[in-house]
Amino acid sequence: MNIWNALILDPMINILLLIYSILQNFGLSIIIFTILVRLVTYPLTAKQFKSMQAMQDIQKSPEYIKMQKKFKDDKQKLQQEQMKLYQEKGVNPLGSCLPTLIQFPIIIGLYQAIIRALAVTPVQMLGLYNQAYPFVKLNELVMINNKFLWMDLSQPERLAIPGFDFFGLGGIPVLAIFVVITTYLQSKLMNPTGQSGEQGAQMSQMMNLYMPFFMGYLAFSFASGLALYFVTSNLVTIGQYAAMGRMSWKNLLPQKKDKGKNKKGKDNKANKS
Amino acid sequence: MIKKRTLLILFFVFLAMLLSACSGAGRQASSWPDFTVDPNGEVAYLSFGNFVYAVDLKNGTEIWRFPSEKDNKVTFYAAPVLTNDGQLIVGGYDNVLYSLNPENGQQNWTFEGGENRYIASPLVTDEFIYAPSADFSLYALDLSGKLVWTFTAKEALWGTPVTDGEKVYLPSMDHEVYAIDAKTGKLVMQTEPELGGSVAGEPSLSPDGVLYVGTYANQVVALDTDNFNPPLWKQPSSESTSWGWVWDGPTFEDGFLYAAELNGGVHALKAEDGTLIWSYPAGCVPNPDQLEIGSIVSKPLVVGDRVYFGSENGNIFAIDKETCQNIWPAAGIHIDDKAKVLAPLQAVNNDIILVAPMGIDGLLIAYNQDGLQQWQFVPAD
Repeated sequence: MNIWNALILDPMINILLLIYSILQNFGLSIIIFTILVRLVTYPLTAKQFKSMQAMQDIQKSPEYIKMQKKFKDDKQKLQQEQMKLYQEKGVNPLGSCLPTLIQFPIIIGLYQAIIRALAVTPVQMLGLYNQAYPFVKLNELVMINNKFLWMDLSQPERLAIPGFDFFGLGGIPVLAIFVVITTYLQSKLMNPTGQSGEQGAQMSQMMNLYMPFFMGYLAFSFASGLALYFVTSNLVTIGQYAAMGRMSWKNLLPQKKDKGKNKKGKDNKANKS
Repeated sequence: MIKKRTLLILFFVFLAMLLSACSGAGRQASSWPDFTVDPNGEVAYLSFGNFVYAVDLKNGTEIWRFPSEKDNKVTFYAAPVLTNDGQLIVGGYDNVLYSLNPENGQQNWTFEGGENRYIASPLVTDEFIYAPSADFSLYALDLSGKLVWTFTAKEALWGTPVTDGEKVYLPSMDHEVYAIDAKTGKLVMQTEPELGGSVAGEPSLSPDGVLYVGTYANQVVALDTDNFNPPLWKQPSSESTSWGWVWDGPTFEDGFLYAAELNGGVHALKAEDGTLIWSYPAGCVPNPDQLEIGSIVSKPLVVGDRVYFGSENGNIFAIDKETCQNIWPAAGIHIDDKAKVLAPLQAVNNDIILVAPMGIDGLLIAYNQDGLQQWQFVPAD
């Protein structure tokens, strides 16, 4: 745990405090901090983009399509041949997953950093005192203003509208809805649907479907500072991808080609049964 | 396909649990236990977690607890306070101020006008209950729990105010101390400029009308209650690098002040002009650098010729009031590796020293003058 504090949590808290000391606004500090994190992890993101692109190129290659047809009744063999092909082309099929997984320690660290920096209880304040670096003038910064727009950044966000309880939630979870939308947009724009019936594509489709709701659940349940990170991070990632000129806006539209292939897939299943 | 979908959902559930666990949400107490002792020295009323406990000081057994059944939405960390008309007033982290019967823990009334937690104990007088809340407001209630007036500061209120009968002196996390008319709630004066750091603890008021506060700017500040500005003195006079935050107090005793700070020091000052008399451990023990005292949050307890204090490292210390020499072992009496002593120590009949550590099962421990443990209160589940 001390290693976690020393390498992840303490630097995050202190960078957040440093930004706050300049901006005097914790919401803006989280946004700037998120952009910094995305810049620092950009090499990983770029690698992820490249890896995804390479995978997509392979999946469109005649060699790959031929292989799928040839081994459609022997999934084990198909997997072996696919792996062989990935190796030949120098592509790691997990290459696009790793940068996503690296997000989780950042999310956990950032959540802890936000809660601890806001320090709304004595125990958190004592912890903050012990974690602040000497160059941070903590006495001048405390208490940190946890208000941003209509939000209390230390609490889950709800936009209260008088007379409208929104299904007993006490308000509309605007930020959580934004998180769902931006996560969906991000995954759809960056993960074009692969060949139907192919395992990776199925997983990708499921991830596209579940990930926005999972992130939305986190944004709904945890401090709104974390949800602010999610929305900013998603928008920055979409921007980075667009800057690389690889944005596939047509992925947002229903794809006729896929429909045909799905039909084929269904026909295959029907034949089997 | 269905199997994969199930696995994926399980994966997300696992990640959500991991995030909850790693974030520490709901795992850690929000503050430390705190308590008050009845004037007869027979019962201690202790707040911690989901309950307020009445503890028999003869043997450390539980007399009653409030509420009788655990309610996860209700937690208490501020010390309860007794009124002269026989009520026990305690603020909860559920934004509610409770009046209890100290005999049996039955609820008399509640005040639900607060919008955030009660971190500090209320101040009670014969007429009013002054309850500082983290919602920035000081609520003045009559003894039946009816709101009389509200004063709002610019930040949360973590410290118990003090009064001279005419004015209430309110410490605030907005780096200010406010003087408020005790009857009307009107602002009389405030510190200007602000004190450079939050004022989180209960100030001390001397009989000759000087208010002493500790600040997060690593200082003890003396304020004339007739006119706060400028302060009479500050010690250290400029922001010190060796002192840490003075979270609480200081303690005023016979013309002297005893202040503790988060870098592990205890300092004795002349109340008149802030002259430093001694600083513990530097200048008091042979090898002060070898002592790992840890942060000292609460103001020292002065009883007779001794100064007692506890530290974040789970140690309690007794030193001589005049010479600052250790009376108990120099490294202190170590309660437990997991214990943190953050609440103020209190004495019963100038004899037994009560300690409310955090992080261990024992919520209240009694020591005699020799530092020997007499009993400990461990609440039954």
